[in-house]
Amino acid sequence: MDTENLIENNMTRFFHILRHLGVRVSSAETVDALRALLAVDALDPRQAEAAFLATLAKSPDDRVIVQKAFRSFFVPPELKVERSEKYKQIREQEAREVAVAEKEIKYELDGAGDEHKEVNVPLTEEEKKIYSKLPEDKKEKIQRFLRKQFQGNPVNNPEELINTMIKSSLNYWKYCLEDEGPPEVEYTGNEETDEILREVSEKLRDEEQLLYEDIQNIAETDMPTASAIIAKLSRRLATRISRRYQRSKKRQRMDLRRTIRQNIRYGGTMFNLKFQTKKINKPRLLLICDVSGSMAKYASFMLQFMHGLVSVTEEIESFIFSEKVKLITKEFLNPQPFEQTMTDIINLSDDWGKGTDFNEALRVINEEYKELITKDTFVIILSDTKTLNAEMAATRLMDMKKRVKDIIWLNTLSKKVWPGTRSVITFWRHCRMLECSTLSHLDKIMRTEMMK
Amino acid sequence: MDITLEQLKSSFEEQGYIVDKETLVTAYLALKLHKPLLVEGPPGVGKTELAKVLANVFATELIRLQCYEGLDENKALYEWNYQKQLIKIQISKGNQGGQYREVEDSLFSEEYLLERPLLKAIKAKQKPVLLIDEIDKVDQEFEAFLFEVLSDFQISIPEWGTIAARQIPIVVLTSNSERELSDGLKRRCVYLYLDYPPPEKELRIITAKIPELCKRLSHEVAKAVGHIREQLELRKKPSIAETLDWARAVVALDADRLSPEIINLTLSTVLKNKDDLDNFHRNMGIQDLFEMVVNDSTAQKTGERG
Repeated sequence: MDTENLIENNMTRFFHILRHLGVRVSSAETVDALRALLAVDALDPRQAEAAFLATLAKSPDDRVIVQKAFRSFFVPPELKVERSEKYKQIREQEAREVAVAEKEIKYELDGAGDEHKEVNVPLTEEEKKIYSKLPEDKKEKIQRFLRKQFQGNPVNNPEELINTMIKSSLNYWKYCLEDEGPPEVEYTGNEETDEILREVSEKLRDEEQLLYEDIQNIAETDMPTASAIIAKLSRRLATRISRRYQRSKKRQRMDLRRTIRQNIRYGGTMFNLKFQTKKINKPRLLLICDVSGSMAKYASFMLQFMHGLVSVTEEIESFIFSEKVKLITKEFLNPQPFEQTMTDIINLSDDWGKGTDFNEALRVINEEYKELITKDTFVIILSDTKTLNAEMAATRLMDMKKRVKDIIWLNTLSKKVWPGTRSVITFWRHCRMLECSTLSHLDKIMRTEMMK
Repeated sequence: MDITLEQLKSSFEEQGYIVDKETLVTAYLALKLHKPLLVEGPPGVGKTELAKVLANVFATELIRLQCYEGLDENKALYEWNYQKQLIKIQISKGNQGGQYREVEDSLFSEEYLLERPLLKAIKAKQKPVLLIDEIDKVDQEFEAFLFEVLSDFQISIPEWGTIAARQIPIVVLTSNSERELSDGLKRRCVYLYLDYPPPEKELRIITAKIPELCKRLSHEVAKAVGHIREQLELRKKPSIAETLDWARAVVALDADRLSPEIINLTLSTVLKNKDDLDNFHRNMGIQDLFEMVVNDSTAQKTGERG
């Protein structure tokens, strides 16, 4: 066997795997990685791993992925066999489940005379897999539906109707069953490569579960860790706010008045030049936080996040709303632990956890707090869009958009259901709507969307 | 740089800079591949120290560009000494015999140029170590400018033309990850992430930096700092320098081991803001920390005997 080619092929496959795992590896970096590998003792796994980490990983997140991919890819042959065997068994199990699904999703239709014909619902492989993952009672419900429908109740073209209903039901379950996790890995179709991709993504998912967990489902025991993550994210944005400058086209503008005054002593010769200092332009933030029943836990995290920003800018006004709206800025300015602040806020609000009227909230803010709505104001809304009077609220939001710098809507509903949710469609035209139901979403938004 | 991995390792050890294998290999690769070394990590883990140590290892000059908000090309590259030029013009005015052309030429000579760190590194006779510290503090325009300089190691002074580096400097960039750096800059660099050291490594650092400290106390301090970093969500975790300060503070009080009283008296050397001190007292406490350290020591002794 040509060893050189084997090494090259292996390296190329490794880079390919990293790209599939979301690490941006350019051609120049692959060359660097190979040069690095030649510069160290490539037979020493720790040196080889360090060489790849040094040249291919460019952030702490990348490091975790590169390290896991390295440890999954460069394994002794016996471990490779073991892994292949494990995933082969998983594939076989999945195939068996799909076969069972095919058998179960059938129904009988009356044919001519007393004959009955057995009809299969034409499902895709993915839909069959969804069915096989359903709890037994849900499977039984679908089967009952198939058995009962249309018996003795003739319908034109019943097959199409049944197919649509079953597919819709499975589609619904797909969203319910889907694990929150790192972005789905794009598989290559090559069995061996896909096994490595699957192993790495499973390990990543296990380790960073909390980041991808829906905030609503975070267990009490994980709350301190989640709070710590929130505090870190908040500090990161605070740093960006604290040194946000107004961009000036002129790099350095001379301050003529100060320069002349300073140089009178030199007979008017401009000996000491004085320049204008750059003006710090801290944005004004306006948080409108939905604290209705479905939103209480998200709101608590978001408020903690905003609480962290108060240390760098006092230009934050926070409102909470459900049926009514309340300004809670004053509570945030008290130098006390977040837990105490939250208790005060909950005590202050009679309708924490009640229904939602965003229209009323916007009306009050627009009319009674006009001074907060300026061209420097950055509005952040946290809500799942489920509100009374959505149409009227949307009109008010459109009006507000004209008078502020930007409106960001952090929506806790899964993005997948947005197109089918009327209230989302009503609002998303008038703001930048971003999915925000996990800490990972919040992290990404802070890094890429805020204060652009 | 003609140095082997083993030589670099022993040179680091001679300088008292304790590194793990990954740090060693990454630094070695930056030297070998002639690429800037980008070191990221929380404050106080030895990022800047790495550049200083490299300068010592190669017995060369350390040129430091400390980044800050608003740093621009003038402060980083060069400036004309405007005041000196003005004086020259004023003097020349009085001297009627002075030739205009001569005066103009001399105004843009080396005598009137104020070299800033980047130009200094480019003009250095001996390959220097250029430390660009806290790069994440500059704005994106300056980062793009830096990116150009680091690509070609040549700069253009309109009055002089292009100046290319005599020697490509060893470049170390440090960042506290307060802002994401551009992909382009990252791609040009060899990347190293330095995290807080585990207690075993910290113990080696303490022993190397304060050799007079007794082993038991070094061990206790390393363990205690490890517990504080690991178990508390602090605004600012103790840096390595603060660990060393703590150890020195304990010695200054003539103590040869940690006790609740000693921890109480010296805690402010590791936790330096009120929130963190409150957090410590609320969620850990002096007695608990002391017991954890004692239990670790007991467990280790038992392990050693076993």
